[in-house]
Amino acid sequence: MLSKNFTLTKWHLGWLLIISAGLGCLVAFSVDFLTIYRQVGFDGIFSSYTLAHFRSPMGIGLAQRVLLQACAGAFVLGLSLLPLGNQPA
Amino acid sequence: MTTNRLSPALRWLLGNSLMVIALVVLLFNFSVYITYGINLIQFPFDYDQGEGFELVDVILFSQGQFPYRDTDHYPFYSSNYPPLFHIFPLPFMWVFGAHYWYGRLLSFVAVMIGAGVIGLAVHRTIPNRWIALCAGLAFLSSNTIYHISPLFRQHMTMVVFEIVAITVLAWASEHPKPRLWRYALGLFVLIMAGYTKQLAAFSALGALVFLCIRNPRRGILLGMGFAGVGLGIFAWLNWATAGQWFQQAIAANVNDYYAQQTVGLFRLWFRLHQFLIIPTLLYIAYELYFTRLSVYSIWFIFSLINGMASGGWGAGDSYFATSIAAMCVLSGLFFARLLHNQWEIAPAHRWMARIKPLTTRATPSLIAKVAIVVVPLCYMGYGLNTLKMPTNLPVYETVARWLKLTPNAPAHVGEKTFYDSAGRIAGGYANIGHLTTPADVEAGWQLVELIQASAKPVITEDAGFNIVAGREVITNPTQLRNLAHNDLFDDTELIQMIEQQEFGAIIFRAQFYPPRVLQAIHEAYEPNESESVMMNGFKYIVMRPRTK
Repeated sequence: MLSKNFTLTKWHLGWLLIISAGLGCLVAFSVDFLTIYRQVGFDGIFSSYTLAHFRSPMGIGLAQRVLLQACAGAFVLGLSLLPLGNQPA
Repeated sequence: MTTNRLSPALRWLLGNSLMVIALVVLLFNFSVYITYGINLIQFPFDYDQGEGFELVDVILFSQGQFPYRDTDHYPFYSSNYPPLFHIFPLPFMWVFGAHYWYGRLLSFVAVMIGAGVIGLAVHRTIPNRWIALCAGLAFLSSNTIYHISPLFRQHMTMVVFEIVAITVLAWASEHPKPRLWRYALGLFVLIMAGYTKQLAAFSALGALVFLCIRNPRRGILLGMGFAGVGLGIFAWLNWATAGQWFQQAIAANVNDYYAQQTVGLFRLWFRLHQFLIIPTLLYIAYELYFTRLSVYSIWFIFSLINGMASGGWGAGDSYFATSIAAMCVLSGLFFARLLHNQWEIAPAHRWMARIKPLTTRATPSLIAKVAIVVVPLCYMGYGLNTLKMPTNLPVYETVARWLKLTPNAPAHVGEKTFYDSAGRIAGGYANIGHLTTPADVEAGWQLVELIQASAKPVITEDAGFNIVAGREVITNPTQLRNLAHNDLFDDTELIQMIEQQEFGAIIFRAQFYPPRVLQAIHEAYEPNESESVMMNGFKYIVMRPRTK
């Protein structure tokens, strides 16, 4: 991979997009946990009080929705590149 | 390009006449751009909030001082932008003194150079003078580019550095003899973009991703060099300013984010530029599936992250300027390939075996013939979509009446004299683009005289009045607001001075100060309606000390 002539292929790019989409989804959902963490600390995250008060009202916000849509797009794009195999990216 | 033996003359006439019409539309927009630039360069005061503070930074640099200062103490001033943009006007500063015209002129000229480089980038890949010209003019035609190009602000200079850097990287990657110095040159220009405005970070990220896709080894090596130089300058600036560089330019720039603003601005961006965005996306799809991704395509994708950042407090449509530059290059390449039928598809491509039976020998020729009509129509549609003009000047007045355009941008209360297709949708708050008038200049001089008549120092939310009056500029409201928002501003000294009415007057434009400072001002000062003026469509409220 670190040779002078190595170049990424469509297959590599496809997998990179799929992995990025997965990481993006994790980031989108971890925002909720970070918000709760800032308010109640780590110990309080899974308390019954926190679960009752934070889970339903927060939902998926506009920024999260946009990020999740972008991730879905990147996932589909990545999948579509896999069949192109070793064509250079 | 393929030829049609039956009607070459008719085809030539049709193609060229449509292209001429498209060019006329784009040249008309260019004339508005020139008119706006000439008008604004002559205006002696702030037009856009923040211009005056750029000038203050130039003044400080000309005196050998950094503008990254401790805002907790008098005069409570600091800059939040990198230094490079403020270094270019220094020779003008030394010769002519503190004025707005040369900052605006430099920005205006830089943007035209940027448009030229866009044309060159297209022409270098597929020679076609019409398309190269249209691509460059399309950049200048965009409402976003128009709004901010002649301002004494650093954003467009950053974009021009980005355009140059990416074009150099494209040249380096396509050169038959790959040489590291060519890539290094492109990355060096990107560092210059970053030290003009921090937002260039996304373009730099895109460039590094491109280099890693082409060859990870080279990408990592160049990336390490790039990071070394960039961080070295950063560390030196931080050391030279005793940590104020990091606090003022980085830590203070963390702001609230409004997702609705981003969505509104993305809608505006698409509505205005759709005739070139769709060809751009088609071109990226072509590169993605049939050939190799160019640096332009990756740049465009990363420039959309800039667009995502447009929901930050203080951000706006200018955050789309980079994507518009990339769009002009990519759509130009798409159109040039369409017209010349120059598609680079590997013969062994997996999908070609399936696509080929769907086409005939005449298909490429047919596509080129359709392109002769479609390409100029796209530029025409784009030119009309991005239309803006003064509605009270000769020629423009006639055109506006002919097109039944209703002025929708402010100049003075009750007297709208400018049409802007960008309108004023939610989030797209660029209340600029209209021309200044002699009444605006007169209003500015009224405020200058008011400052000169005051025995005490005067705080003005726009720095220009104090600069013209020869007085010290006190505070940078948005920066104080940013610092206070991040708990980095101790307002004790400023509030104490306000409470003791140590300022002869405080002139508001947008009341951007931190809430506690605003509260102190309203308690110790009161508006004097008779002194307040309208300038450029904004009300400048003069606050005078309350009688105790």
